[in-house]
Amino acid sequence: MRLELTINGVPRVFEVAPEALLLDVLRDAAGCKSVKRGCEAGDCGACTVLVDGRPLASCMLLAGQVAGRSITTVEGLGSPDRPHPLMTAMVEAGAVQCGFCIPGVILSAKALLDENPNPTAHDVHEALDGHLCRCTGYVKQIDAVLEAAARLRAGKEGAR
Amino acid sequence: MTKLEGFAHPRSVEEALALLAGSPGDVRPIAGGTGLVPLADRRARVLIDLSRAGLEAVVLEGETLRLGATATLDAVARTRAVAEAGLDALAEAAGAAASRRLRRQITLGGNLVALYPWSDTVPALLALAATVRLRSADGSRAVAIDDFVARHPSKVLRPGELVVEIAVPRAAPHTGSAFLKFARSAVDYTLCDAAAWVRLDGGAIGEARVAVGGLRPLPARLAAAERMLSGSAPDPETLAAAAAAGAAEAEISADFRASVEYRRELCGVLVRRALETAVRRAVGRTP
Repeated sequence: MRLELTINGVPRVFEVAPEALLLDVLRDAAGCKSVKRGCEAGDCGACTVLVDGRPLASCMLLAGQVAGRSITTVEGLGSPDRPHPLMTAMVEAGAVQCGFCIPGVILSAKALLDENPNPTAHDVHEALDGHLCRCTGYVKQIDAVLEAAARLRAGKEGAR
Repeated sequence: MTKLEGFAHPRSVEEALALLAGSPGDVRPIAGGTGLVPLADRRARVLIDLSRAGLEAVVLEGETLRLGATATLDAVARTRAVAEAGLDALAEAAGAAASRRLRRQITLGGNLVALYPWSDTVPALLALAATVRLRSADGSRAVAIDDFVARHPSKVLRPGELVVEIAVPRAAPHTGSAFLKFARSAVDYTLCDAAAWVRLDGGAIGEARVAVGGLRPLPARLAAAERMLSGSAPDPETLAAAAAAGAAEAEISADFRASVEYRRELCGVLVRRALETAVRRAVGRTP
């Protein structure tokens, strides 16, 4: 089956099995290894990607369902040389322990900040609902999202 | 063994219905996909993705809230039209299912048609007397939610037919509703959920509808509880007695999560609390 996806802004075409999961296409065909295979049941959040800006579980979507859509993974947000403020804040807050859950957490946080640049701690709790961190680093993740939000707001004001 | 060949992405209901009508039984619709994907059910040759068919709108039209079948539970929980319609039980049920991430994918129509014991929106739709609108290439028909659930969607839906809309009457003055759910964790499957709707008539309960889910086999109304409430005073003792009657009559089975006894206890508590909240809201909803 021919499958067209825009991945991190780049239009791509794949030849995939019709029953392929979005998770498998992203990891194996597109090489986006930041997308983690966790529970494969939609529960853990490690495979979260943005589909047209909305955080969804890539293990719960057949790739064909999202044909033609725009997918964002953390590879599309930043790199070690040019990290996204959310990435920097996660590292500085000590929110990254084993790191397995962090790509998904960052993408859900990104979707939150796109919609609401000035979230409360409660908004962050809600946005990270369903992201399991087995290192239990939840508090620092929330601190990091709030810090990144503050920096992004300050950056916007500075640019004016 | 899969025989899936590909997907169709109809851009309108008419196009989706034409695809369904013109194909043999191995073509089937897919909404959010959260039920289908983990089952690895690939018996279909072609999956008709309904996500672009324009069925996601949620609008309040006069006295009726019209919810498109592919409205996501996240949208139902947050859309202003649901709040404006005063349908608290529906917003609460949609917002309580699974996790926020899965609620962006699970659709109201999918939650209803799949009809799992843990389809949290179904008790709310039962309590709120929803109507299910079905369409095929040949025409449309409306089925009351009680009938749709009791006969089971798989028996009600004819080949080539889709659920296109769920309509719920706007909350009238002196009515109130509430939904409560209990699960082992915020994102685990429902152990028990309860939805209540009441209409106050003078100082008494004129009419009540109570439905529970999560208990197995399927979400259902609690007729004995409803009979006790009708015509009674909405005082704590009456609500507690009705909840106890409801828990006694509920069909419950056990699984590895919880015993029958535990679920029955939960059921009584949740029904009582849902009734208390529904009554409080009915008192507050003045014309």
